[in-house]
Parts: sequence; structure tokens; C-alpha cells
Amino acid sequence: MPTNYTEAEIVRPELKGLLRRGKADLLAAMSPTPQILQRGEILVQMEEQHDFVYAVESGWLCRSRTIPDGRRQIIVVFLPGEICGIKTIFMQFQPDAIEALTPASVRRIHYKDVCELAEENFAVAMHLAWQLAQDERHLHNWNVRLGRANAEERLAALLLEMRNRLTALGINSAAATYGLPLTQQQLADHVGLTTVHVNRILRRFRDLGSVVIRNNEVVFLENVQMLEDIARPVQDLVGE
Amino acid sequence: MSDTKSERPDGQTAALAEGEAALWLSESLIFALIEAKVLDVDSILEAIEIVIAAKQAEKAEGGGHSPAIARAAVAQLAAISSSIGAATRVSPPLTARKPRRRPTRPD
Repeated sequence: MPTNYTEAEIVRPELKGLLRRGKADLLAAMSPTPQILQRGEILVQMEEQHDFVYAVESGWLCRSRTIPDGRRQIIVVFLPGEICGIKTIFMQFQPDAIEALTPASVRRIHYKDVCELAEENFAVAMHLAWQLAQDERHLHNWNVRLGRANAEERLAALLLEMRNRLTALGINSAAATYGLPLTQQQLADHVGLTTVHVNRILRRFRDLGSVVIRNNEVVFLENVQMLEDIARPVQDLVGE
Repeated sequence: MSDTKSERPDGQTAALAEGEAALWLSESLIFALIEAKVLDVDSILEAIEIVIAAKQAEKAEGGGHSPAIARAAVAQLAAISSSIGAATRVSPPLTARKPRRRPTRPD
């Protein structure tokens, strides 16, 4: 059974200072005025040209892809403090959309400025690589879940992943509850299920006394251990 | 006093609502039947595959109402099939069923 570490424990100690400095220097170079987004607003259009990298200041964003017949997959969720759109440095056209799941604010930097900054500041380059590695880690987790996990494991893993990521980012300090501003449709689009199926599993988790979602708030109940047990086989080393 | 006439959905909205309600109800019933071990997942997936194949054949033959509707219907069926494919349960059985609530009566 996998051991759970904190994110601070798995990062190489000799890199921690460098990554912190890189993030600070990158944020300092971004536009001073935040761009405000409404819920559902598209920041990066799918298959269109885009030139900016963003830092999420507040709210939740996601990378998503809608296929021509209307089915949609939420690929990665971006939380406050994370950098998104790094692929714009390398690619003129973006394969996926980035959209606001909640009202949000972001600050941005042109890809050419990021390149110049990364060239003169190794810490910034390493922070960008770190963020890509984080995104890749999340994608690996979801690759395993969507390929091999059943519906209960996917949903349990998602609810615990968001709790653990919010805690690691210092956004959530209470272990028993956190705000989850996603609709059941958005949850379904992330875990590759239908809304009916998500609703059914959430009712089951509630009836088993492990977790309930009320008014966009996830509340872990007395039997949260059951949820942890369901998710554990498809969680990574930091419980995400 | 409310104007009940103005609250009545137009024909298209009513048809869409009926379609959505029927689809969601069918899906929910399928999950209930799987959970009660009346049906197994493989049989359901095969049944959905048959419907998808029939819909695609209809589209290829130029039948049906509209290619766009047929395509959207196939997408809906594919999403349901994929979701049902993940329906194996790992959580323990519920020890006690909650008492059933009486259905809400419309005012």
C-alpha cells in the first residue's frame, strides 16, 4: 500500500529555495493589474493562437477539451497560486481551452518575456519546469484513474485530491471541510462519468457516512476512513 | 396569483425536458438494476452498443430526424456507456436502508 508523504517531504531539499525564488521572480514580472474572469469565461480558446502565461490569483480554472460531438473532459484543475498556460511558450496554437470554473482573477506575462526571464534567471526556468512536472503528475494520476479506476475510486480520489492540494497551497487549513465550487456536471466532466452516476455515488458516500457535499462545501463525516480506503489504490505518494 | 399559462413550457422546451427526464431516469434505473444484481454491466454495455450501432446505421442510411441529433444521441450513449463501464462497486454495502420518503405532491 502506498505511503503518504507531504509535498514538502518529496521535493528535493536543495531545490526548495530555488523554486520559491523562481516563483517570486516570475510573479514579480507579471502584469500588475489582474484580469478578472467571470464563471465560465474562456481565457484560452481551444485550437486558437495564444501568447500568454498566467498566474492564478483567486478562483479556480481548468484545462478542458470539448470534442465535436459535445462530450467534454476537464483535464486539469488550476488553483490559486498555480501557473497555467505554460505550453504557450512552446506552441503557437493551443490544443485545449483554459476556462474559469468560478469567478477568478489572473495575472499574465507574454511568452517572449517569460523566455527572456528564464534565460537570465535559472530559478524562473526551474519554477516553470516544476509547474509542468506538477501538471504532469496530476495527469499521470488521472491517466491511471480514468484507465483503471472504477467510478467510486475516481470520485473518492478527486474529493481527497482537492482537499490535499488546497492544504498544500495553504488555502485550506481545516481537514474536515473545504469549498468545492464545482457543479455535478463539472465533477462528472472531470472524472469521466455522467451526472446521474456522480449523483448516485455521492448519495452513496453520504449514506455510508463518509462525505457529503452541501452548498458547494465538501464535509467529511465520521466514516471518512472508508473514502480514504477507496481512493488509496489510485492516489500517488502525496495523496493526490 | 400566478399565471399558470405563462409558466407552461413551449413545445420544444417540453420535448427536450421529456427527453432529458427519460434519459436520466433510464440511466438511474440501470444503476439500480446493476446494484440489485438484476442486470450485469456487460449486458448493459452490449445493449447500449446495439443502440449506438442502430443509430449510426440510421444516420448512414439518411434516415431519422437530423444527422446532428443522431450524432448528439450517439455521444450521449457513448458517455453513458463509458460511465456504466466504471460502475463496479468497492464500497461496503449499506447496513440499513433509510426510510423511504413519501413522494412530494405538487401543490
